[in-house]
Amino acid sequence: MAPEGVIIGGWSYVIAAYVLVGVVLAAYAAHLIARTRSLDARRRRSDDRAETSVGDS
Amino acid sequence: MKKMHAFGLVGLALIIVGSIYGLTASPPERHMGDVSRILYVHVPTAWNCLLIYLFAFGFAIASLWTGKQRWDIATTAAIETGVVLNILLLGTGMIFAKPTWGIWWDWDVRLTTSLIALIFYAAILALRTFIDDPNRRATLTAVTCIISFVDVPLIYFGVRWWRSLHQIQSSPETMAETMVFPMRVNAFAVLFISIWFMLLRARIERSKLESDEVVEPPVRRAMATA
Repeated sequence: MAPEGVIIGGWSYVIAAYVLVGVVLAAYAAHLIARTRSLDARRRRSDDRAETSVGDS
Repeated sequence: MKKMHAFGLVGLALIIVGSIYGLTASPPERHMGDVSRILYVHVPTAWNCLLIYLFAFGFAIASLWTGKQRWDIATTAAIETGVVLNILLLGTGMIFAKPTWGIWWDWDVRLTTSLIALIFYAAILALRTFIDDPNRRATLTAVTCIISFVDVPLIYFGVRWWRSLHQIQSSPETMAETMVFPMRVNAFAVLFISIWFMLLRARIERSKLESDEVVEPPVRRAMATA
């Protein structure tokens, strides 16, 4: 019998909190990295186009 | 770019160490038992959320003062990172509240002011998407960010100023060393991860502004002639 006022167990809440933190941080990091890569690719393409048009003229 | 990712890697390593220690080596708290382990992620996200909002406040003042675009970029990066941490602090707080208070949510001063901060700062990010003029956008972002910061001291000191269900701040003197260690390690982990997020987000914002400057004039010219 647990003494009164003491919480027994609760590991499901602990796991839920850690999973929430892990998932949110990982999802936001993945989102930022994906956006950085897509913007870099876009910039490379526009740089290539600018070089090509300079070469044409 | 590699230096930027170093912040993320250090943060990841620290959060793994802090969390493993917090989940395995740290003892259960006398009254809260194992549920107290949630504090090793809840408190670091809360501390860093308020710290990042403080950064955003400083950047917003610099943005208004100098009118330089780099401060607007820094303000936006800090606000978005703060919003992510704000979501985490509320989420982990609710998960902690259920087994300890018996409810998921209460309109307690700290919970309410934290929710208000999330709404205010998220609204600033939404507001930015409606404004095309970069100067007007920077001014509005800075002004609304400075106004929103009024809520941050209320989050921190509110539990001392008013009767609150949320407990007041603990200190290392009131905690066992085995509990302070994972809390500190995770606090630094979240700080490093937050800095990494801000650097990445600032880079994205800078690239977006540069590509707008490059792409927009010809597009506008084409639209004008069409």
